[in-house]
Amino acid sequence: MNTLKVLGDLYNSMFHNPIETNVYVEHQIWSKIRANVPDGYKIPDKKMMDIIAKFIEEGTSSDLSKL
Amino acid sequence: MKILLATYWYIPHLGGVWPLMCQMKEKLEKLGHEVDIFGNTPDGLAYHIVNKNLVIKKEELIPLVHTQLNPAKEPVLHTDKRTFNLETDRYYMELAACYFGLSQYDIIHTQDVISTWCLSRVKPAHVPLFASVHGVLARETIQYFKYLNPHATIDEIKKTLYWKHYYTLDKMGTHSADLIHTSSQWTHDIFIQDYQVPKERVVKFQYGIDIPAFLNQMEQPTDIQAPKGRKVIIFTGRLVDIKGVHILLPALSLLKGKRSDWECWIVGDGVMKDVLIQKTEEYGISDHVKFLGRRNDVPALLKKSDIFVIPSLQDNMPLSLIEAQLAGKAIICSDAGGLPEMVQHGVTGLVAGAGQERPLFLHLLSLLENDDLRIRLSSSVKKWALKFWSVDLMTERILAIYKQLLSRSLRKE
Repeated sequence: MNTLKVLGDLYNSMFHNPIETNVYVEHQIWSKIRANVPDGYKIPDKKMMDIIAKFIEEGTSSDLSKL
Repeated sequence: MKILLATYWYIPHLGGVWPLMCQMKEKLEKLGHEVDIFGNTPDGLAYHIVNKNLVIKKEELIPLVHTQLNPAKEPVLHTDKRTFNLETDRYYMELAACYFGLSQYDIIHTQDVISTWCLSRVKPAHVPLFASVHGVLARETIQYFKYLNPHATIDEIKKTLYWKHYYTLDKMGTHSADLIHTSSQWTHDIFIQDYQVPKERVVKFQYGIDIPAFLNQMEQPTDIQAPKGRKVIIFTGRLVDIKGVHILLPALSLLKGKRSDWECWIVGDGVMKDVLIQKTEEYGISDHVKFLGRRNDVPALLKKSDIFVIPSLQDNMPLSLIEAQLAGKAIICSDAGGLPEMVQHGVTGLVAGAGQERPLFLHLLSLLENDDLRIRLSSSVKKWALKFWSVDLMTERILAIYKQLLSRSLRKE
């Protein structure tokens, strides 16, 4: 496979509140991904993040989660 | 039809889901359909379309994803390491699915809640999503914690972020498919009652197995020989806490106190293998229990056995039990999950309370003491199994659902 590294910022549209990075990624892979993601697709999964934030707010036990 | 069978789990893997996916692929392709199988690679380092040898390594995705999801920007995601790992691995699955392209498929058929939720986020709207869900993650988590810490109460476990995360994945997954398939009444009721999935979006029917192929495999040679003058008790399955082998061992220890005309074969592999071998030594039953590891000749080993035991703490509709029924073994199962739906106590096997060593011991003893009972149970279960586990019937039902979902999707367009 011919590789072409491009700046990851080209794919910022797939992330919530993207930041500028110095990360270089494989163009062939990430362009194919971006072409196929549905409109509005974002990482992280906001729905799940809101639920986890609520769990944290309610208070979760840390002892057992460290088992 | 072009069909994608997908799972979040490693494929190929131990356990019944992988053989089930392979069997579905084979049957559907014989009927002229095209089937791809998508999931994690066995080492967990990539996602792949197994049958086409198409791979996307996670190392191509991790640097950018981790940088964009750094702790300062996404503190919630970093609250717990396991939650972070599972969540990011879900994103890799979503990105991998986009890389391979989902628009080429007419239908997506997932095999667990995690892949269902992932693919619902990235599939084209017109492609129907059908999910066969083979277990309940939140309930497995409880068993896992109970094994690690027997004193932990269910309420304490349900307060952990780990449990809540899995519960949410169960809920998201079961709500994101167009239709959910369960194989047991047990999972059917859990999805409707505990997860509030609308009744009309859940269908229940049993799995199937290629019976002639299985019976043929039973006749193949094996290098393991049954001991002379001893009955063989066999367990086949993953050596993980929910399969309950750690409950079987004390039952065997009690059995050894009564009679010694038996040998137990533990067939399978898993994270608990070393602990179980050590416990076998502690119980003083090493001379009666053989750990055979992962084997490719399970049907032939079943043929040489007399009693099949499955002491699960949680299970749905395990392939290992289906195979033992087709092999016509005297069955002892626990009453966990969907197991009692598969065995009628006293008619097609014996059922013992899950997690209890004494009822298991008593059932083992009675099957060793009473030849007539053992032979009667073996013969009636085989007769029942040969009719019940038809793979053609399962394929017919699955295809009918694909067609129904496709026509619904066309109507929407």
